[in-house]
Amino acid sequence: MNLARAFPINPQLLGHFEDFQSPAGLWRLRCYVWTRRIAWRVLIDGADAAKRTLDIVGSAVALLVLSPLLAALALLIRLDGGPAIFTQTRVGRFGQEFKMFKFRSMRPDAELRLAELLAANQHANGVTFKIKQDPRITRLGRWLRRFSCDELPQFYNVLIGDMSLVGPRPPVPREVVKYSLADRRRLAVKPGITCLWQIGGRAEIDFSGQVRLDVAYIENQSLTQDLRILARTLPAVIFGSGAY
Amino acid sequence: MKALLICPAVRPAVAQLAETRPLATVPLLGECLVNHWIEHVAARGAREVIVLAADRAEQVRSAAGDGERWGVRLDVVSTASETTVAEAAAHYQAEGKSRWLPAPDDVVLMSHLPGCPEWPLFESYAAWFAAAVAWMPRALTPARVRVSEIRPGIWAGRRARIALGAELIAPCWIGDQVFVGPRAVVGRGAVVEDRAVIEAGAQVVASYVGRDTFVGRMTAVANSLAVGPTLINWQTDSALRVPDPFLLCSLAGPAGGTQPGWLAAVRPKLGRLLAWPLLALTAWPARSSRSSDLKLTG
Repeated sequence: MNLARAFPINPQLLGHFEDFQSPAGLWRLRCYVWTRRIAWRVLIDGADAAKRTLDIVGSAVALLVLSPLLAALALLIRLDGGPAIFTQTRVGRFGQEFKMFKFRSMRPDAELRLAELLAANQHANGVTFKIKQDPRITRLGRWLRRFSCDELPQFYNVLIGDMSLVGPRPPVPREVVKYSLADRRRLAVKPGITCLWQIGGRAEIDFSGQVRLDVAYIENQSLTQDLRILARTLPAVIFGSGAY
Repeated sequence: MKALLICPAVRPAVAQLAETRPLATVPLLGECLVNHWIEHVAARGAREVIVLAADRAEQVRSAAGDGERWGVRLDVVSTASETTVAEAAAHYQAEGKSRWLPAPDDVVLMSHLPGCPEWPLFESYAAWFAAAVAWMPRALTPARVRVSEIRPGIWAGRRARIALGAELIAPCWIGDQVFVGPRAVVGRGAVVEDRAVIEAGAQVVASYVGRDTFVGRMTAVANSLAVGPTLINWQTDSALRVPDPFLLCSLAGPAGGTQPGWLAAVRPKLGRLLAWPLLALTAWPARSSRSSDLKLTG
């Protein structure tokens, strides 16, 4: 009696499970699983590993190449009076706070004068805070901020893993307290030095626009997108669009 | 505002789910149960959340973190046994309910998913699976990222890779970083958690595939919960450990399976081979003493 005709079986199934019948076949299947497991781990975890590698290499190279500029800027700021580096608590992934480093572009008493300036906030929704002609900014600081040179020390934050090269800008705790759950989506990844709204209008984009662009970045995050954003960051910085 | 969440402890009906982790931390539609509830009470205005955990509280603490993710202050308290809602309310609301969320979100026993008390989770594996499928439309909360409804009744993670020849039948949930191979069939009523792999030609029908689980080529998983190498039939409540990793295994940690690998089979033989000279050495003096004994007696 022809069993194959009496009990039709998918020939693909027969071919696949033929290996079960011999020790060599079973060994082949085990090797197959072993290689597949490694391949899938690489594929699944590879994207995060590639991003972290880009962060480490990019930040290390940037710090090395820019070190003369960093030293010169630090000296100029010191000569202007006050410390060169300004340390601020910012909020990173999933709400974890960290110390972010910037070149000081404001007067040393800037934080103390913040309350009286909150009334002049040009971001109408009141979550984020930005004003043009902020009186706390020094003359040198205005130049630093226009070309984003005040952000250069953040390459160190990237190197030590607090931040990434590309990601939503880290907010201050004062802003995060006002976030809704939907706004908190922008905290789902490590913050970055540059992001979509940094290259598209920077401080002129209101808070809801920032959240929208940050979530769009997170939802479509890839190494290609990161490289594209990095490539577009340099012209945006040079032309100082939207920075104040 | 405050809220209190009570983690379920031992539930014999779903004991296999709690084999390696407490029930409150079992992945369910991309997040674990305790995280779903923390988000739910945070959305209702809670700023302080207390979580009572009788079973492996440190794992609950690790899964939930410090609450900063949802903007709440989170405190995970380890208890000797599962507290009832009445006991917890009597203890923690002794000073009044003014600073607590309105009932029923003030003190919650997490035996169901948020907003679905009619779907109890832990009465049986069938109930657990039915609750997961029923909750799919509600899983896309305002705080959720990287998951979207790609077609009516089909939710998929943004980083999921679904091959062109794969067939998806609603309702089904495909988590983040999932791979679905060509000619694979997922659904109807399938939940595939994050980082799982459904290989070419495999079928997942009316089943749950756990996080980091590998479903091999041409493998059909039906009416089951597949978590690593463990397969639970939710219709009959029977469970088995699949011995062959090329059918079903875990991608995280050991592949699983009950058959010894080639090294485990060879090791005893290798041990005997290496130990033979030692055995020979220990046997030789005994023969000499016997001969001397013989000499003495002779």
